[in-house]
Amino acid sequence: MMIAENMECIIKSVNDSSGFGERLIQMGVLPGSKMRIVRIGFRGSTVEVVVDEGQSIALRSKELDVLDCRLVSIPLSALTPEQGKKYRIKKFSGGQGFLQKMNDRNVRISTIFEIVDDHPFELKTENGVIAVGRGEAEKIIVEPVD
Amino acid sequence: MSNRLTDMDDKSITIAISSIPNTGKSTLFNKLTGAHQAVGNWAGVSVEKKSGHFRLDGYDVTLIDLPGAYSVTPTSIEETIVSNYLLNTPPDFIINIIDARNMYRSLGLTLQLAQSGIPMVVAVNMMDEARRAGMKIDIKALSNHLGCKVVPIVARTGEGIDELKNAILKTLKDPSLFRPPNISRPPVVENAIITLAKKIEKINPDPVLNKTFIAERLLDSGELPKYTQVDKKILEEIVKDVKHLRAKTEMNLGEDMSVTCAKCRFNSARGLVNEATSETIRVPDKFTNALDKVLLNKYAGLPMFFIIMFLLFQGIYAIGTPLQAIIGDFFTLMQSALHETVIFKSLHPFISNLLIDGVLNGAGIVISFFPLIAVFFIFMSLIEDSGYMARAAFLLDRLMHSLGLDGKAFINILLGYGCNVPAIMGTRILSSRHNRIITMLLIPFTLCSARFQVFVFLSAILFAPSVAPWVVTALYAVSFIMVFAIGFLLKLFKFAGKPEPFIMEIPPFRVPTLNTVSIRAWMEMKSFLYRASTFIVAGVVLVWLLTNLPFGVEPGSINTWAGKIGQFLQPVFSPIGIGWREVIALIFGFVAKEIVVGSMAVIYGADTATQILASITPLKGFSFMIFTLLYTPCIATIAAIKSESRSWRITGISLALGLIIAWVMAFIVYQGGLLLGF
Repeated sequence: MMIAENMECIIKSVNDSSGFGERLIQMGVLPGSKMRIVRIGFRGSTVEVVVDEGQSIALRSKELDVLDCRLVSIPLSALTPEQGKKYRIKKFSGGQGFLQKMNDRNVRISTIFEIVDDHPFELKTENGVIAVGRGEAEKIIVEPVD
Repeated sequence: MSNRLTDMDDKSITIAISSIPNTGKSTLFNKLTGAHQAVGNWAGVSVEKKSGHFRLDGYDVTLIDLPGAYSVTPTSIEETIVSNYLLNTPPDFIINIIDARNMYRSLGLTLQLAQSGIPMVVAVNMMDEARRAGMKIDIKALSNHLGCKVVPIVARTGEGIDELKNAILKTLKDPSLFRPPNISRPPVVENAIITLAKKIEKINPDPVLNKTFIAERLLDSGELPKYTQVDKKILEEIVKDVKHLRAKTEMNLGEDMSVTCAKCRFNSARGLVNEATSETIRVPDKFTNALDKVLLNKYAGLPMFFIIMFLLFQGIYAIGTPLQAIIGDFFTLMQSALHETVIFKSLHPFISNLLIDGVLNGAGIVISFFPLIAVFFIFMSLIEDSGYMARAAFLLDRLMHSLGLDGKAFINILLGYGCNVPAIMGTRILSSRHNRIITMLLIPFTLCSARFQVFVFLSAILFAPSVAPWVVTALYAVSFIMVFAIGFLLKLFKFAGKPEPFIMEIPPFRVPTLNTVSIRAWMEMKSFLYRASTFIVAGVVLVWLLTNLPFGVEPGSINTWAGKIGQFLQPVFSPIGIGWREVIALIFGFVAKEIVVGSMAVIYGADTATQILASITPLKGFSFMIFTLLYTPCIATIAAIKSESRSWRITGISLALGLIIAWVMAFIVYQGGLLLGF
């Protein structure tokens, strides 16, 4: 499973034989629960997630593999270019200045784009290609378009 | 609460207190029972069983603290204990606790318990924090849906405790106040449960447990109460029916039975939360979020951890160790003073020496650990209750995961560098038995302050002043390396079984209360006194006998039994460069490592330093120090391992592991040194 800070996903099913999924289920983390990755620990092995009911739990990223999740939102900065994969801008997590800057550059909520490059980010939209800095990309929350 | 009735008229009842972890269960337990607590063992497993007493208007209540469990469907040892306890020895009453700030996560268990049919009262804890967050809870709605009395409380301050006792009393006197709630299930599941419940009704002699509850337990996890009176054939038939019904429903619904059951419960829980609360607060509150930004920061997190650990270490050992030394000195003074008294002079010298240098010395060692244990647990409770422990575990998880442990174990091992005894007692906070056992076996390889004294003394005699500090540093390095190497080894051989999956709740930060912290320290001292003292005194007496018998020989000399053992073991110890005199010192070292220095003075006689220098080469000395570092720390550590692991096997393994590894490492050092021409 791909992991990134501030990523959100919904658990679709739990494919488990290790006891890990079984325990999550008994804690009320069930298919249908939303999960947000709050922070990723040293070298990515341990992650802190917040489940939609508000409990904060630490898990190992390897064990997350037993969960079949649907990606709901992810910061643009965590993505890499992929031919034909489309995303939609869901929200901005920046201040007024940032919102104004994005608006000026025609980067708006609901804009659908494809990532062309990630050094820096170049997004292909129907109105042309937009360049976005790495710092800015962290504040742009997107969702995949099927 | 007034006690109008005399003890004779009081009715004895058992109340179990059960909740998911981190809801303030111990705080409420302490509030209800005060310090009237006893610590035992759950039958068959090495998990602590706490019980206490309190009086409740006409009732003499035994309160059982059930281990924290998310569900009665067991996925861990703790949950198995709770499940077995409820099914086989149902209590008269249950107190369940809900976390007001996050009711959803608590309600899954609450619904299961309520369905059991055992009369229950629910306490909604941490109301103050919920109020502060602007959250309103409709207690009445909760009470209606759960079918029992619900009481808002703040366990930390004692708010609502009287109301809770009142609610218990009322329910005890009027059982109609309690009725198991219904939760909606898919029709297939409902039908299966009804079918099973009918069968159970025929055989179930237990009027307490609800048939539907037993049926759901059977369907969910295949557990059945131990019906000893019932014909085996009937039981086997029921088990067969369950298998069939389960396969049918699982097929029908396309998912695991346990998932379906959990979904039913938590759907009800979600509905209940929506109905009973004005607004759901995000549990990681602003304060917690802000603090976590610093304490769990990618770059600042680890340095902050080491600063906090440094302060903790300093706090514990700067206060505890001098107090230990003071008590030790006091007992030494008392011992020499007693030798001069008329009573002891009138006794046979062997008897008086045995009493003073054996028994009293042992008692002194036990008592000298008290301040250290108290200070240790005060600091440990502070970092645990505040919520920092979970953060530290998060930060160090990567490192400890390589040993199959989790981050919390690191703190215990680190604290072992001060003193092994409280560090081993502290393994109780670890999340699984696997982690506790492995950590317990690793802690004895840490270089504690008592060994440090031996190393400073010997290296000062054997090495040049410019070299000596490096020798001690090298020993620290060896200790670190050995902890990790042995950790890997134990993991490789899956010594304590499979590690449990790692799911750790990160609780919000909270200010610990004086009450909880002090009761904890007091309980630890008490349990150390009860469980370890006989062992320690017996060990000290045994060593005293070995070094003083047979009658009439010079204590600690070659003619004592210890000396004989030393000579007998000569072939074993000569390959590692250790002579019979040092073997005696090592035997003394079982009592406490500090004694090694003193005993060498006895063995070598006057002008110890010159004598030692004459008979021990630096290489032999280093080999001796390596052996001292790695073999069994002291009798108090062994006693702590015994009382924490509750297993002679683990204690024996720890002893053997220490001796074998000490010998092997000393052999490598000594023979390697000889080859290199030292």
